[in-house]
Amino acid sequence: MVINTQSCDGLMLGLCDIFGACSRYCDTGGGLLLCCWFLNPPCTGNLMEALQAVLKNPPINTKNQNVKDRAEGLVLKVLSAFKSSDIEKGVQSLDKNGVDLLMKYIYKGFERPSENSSAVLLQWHEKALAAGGVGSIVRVLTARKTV
Amino acid sequence: PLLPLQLSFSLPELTLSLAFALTGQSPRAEHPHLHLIRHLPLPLPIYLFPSLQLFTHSSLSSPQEIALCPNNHEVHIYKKDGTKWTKIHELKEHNGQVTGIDWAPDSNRIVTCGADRNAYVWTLKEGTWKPTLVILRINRAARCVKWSPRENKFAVGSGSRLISICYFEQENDWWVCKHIKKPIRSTILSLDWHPNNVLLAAGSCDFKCRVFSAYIKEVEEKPGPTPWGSKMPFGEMLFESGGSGAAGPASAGGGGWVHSVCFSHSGNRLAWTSHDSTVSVAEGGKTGTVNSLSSETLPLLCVTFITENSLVAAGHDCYPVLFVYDGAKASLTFGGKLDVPKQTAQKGISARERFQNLDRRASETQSTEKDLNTLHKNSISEISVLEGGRNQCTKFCTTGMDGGMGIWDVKTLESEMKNLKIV
Repeated sequence: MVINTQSCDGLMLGLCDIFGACSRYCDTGGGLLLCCWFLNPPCTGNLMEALQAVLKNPPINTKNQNVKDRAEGLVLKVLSAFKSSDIEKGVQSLDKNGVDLLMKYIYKGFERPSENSSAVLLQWHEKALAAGGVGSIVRVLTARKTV
Repeated sequence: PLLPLQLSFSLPELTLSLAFALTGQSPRAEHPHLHLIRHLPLPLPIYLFPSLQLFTHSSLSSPQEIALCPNNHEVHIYKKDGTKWTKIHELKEHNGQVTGIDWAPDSNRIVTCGADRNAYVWTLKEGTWKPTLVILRINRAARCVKWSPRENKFAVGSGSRLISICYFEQENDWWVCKHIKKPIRSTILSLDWHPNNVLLAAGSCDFKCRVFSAYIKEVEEKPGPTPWGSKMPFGEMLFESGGSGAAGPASAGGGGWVHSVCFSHSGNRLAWTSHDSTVSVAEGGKTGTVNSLSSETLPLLCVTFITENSLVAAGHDCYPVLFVYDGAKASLTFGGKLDVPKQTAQKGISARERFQNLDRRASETQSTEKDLNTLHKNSISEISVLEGGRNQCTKFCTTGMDGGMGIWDVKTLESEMKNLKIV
């Protein structure tokens, strides 16, 4: 687990409450590396890193639903913390596999909408679609191992 | 608006009126009552057949003939007279939907397979095609069939999760078949033979593309070693995709049904397209690395090599696409979209037309982005090389679920599309 001790403008870094639980659920094959931030009024530099980090090592191989739910929650947190104008940059910082993975999380997020999650996800969806094309959506539909 | 295909059903000689000559420059008018008959300017000829489903052609021979299945139990054979296609034969023997047709050009035999779990080999005797039943010993529908390069055997893929390799036994005057079963776990969707007449590539619904040996000692000598392997007893699997070759977490354990497989002309390269919108190439001998390209398009249904390094694939996006494989860098890249829709001249729209459009489409403009401006109006299901072989293809042909058959000239494409390089 990487603990980044930088702080920036009120952005607090700390151990996420689930980290302790996660280490127990770590899959021997995949492993879950989570960089956790408590997200306050955003400092966008770190948000990009947050995005990269949260999309690393997704819990694809594990069968533990808890782990998957926590991971999805974290991803949603990061996605919601982005400013609308920065979403495009965020998507462009990802490689092809990253865009596919992002699409998977977006659709996972659509499955269980909360207050304004859908609005945020739709903005991300638009940018991710521009980057990945319908092919990335097809890959969400045909993937046998889901996030 | 009337769909062009509806017109075709009302006229018997329909294909005649719908065949177009190659023309040039005039923009296609986007009038809501467009009848294709009156408007010529498609950049490439498209021939429309009533509900064409399957297609194969007798290549190289002239006059050119094609066999197709109009989505039912029959096979129709059409012959080309000038620019017109006339139906010359109807092959009726199957009790179920015909799912595969292949025409052996040298021995002039046609093999068909169908949902009735049978295959028939048709030979031309005294001007009519006579069928011979081949018992495949399968208990599910046959799905695809391919003659081997030397035409002494053919392979049938089926829903029974096996491949039937059929060859003719002289003493009994009978077609006999052998099965390849392991380790196929689902329906075989596509087959392609290696030029050495022994190796067979099979794409399956269990997300894998495999190369098997279909060596039949009764009809051929032992094959020499190839980059895919040197020991080739019948049924041996020499390659399987999706093993350790998958790259990246996003595609690990993923994949989709393998719709189409194709060997290159030399047989050293194998390409396949999959339902997860990827196209992949594997090289014999370097099977540890499979190079996949996740495309941005809808899934591709058919693929063929046109040179040793270039692939053309097409599918649900209704236009053919070029991919280039770099053997040295072992990478597959997107080469370009191959359909060049002529730009429609936006004429002034009269007020009346605006209201008509508003009424009809809830939008004021003539054509929305959803209108297909590609040659094919529905998914392209098959692609085949017409001239030049798979190493120097000059013409290839696509057929689609819109009943259309388009013939594409490679030279014309290269000149019409900037930045298109076929290596």
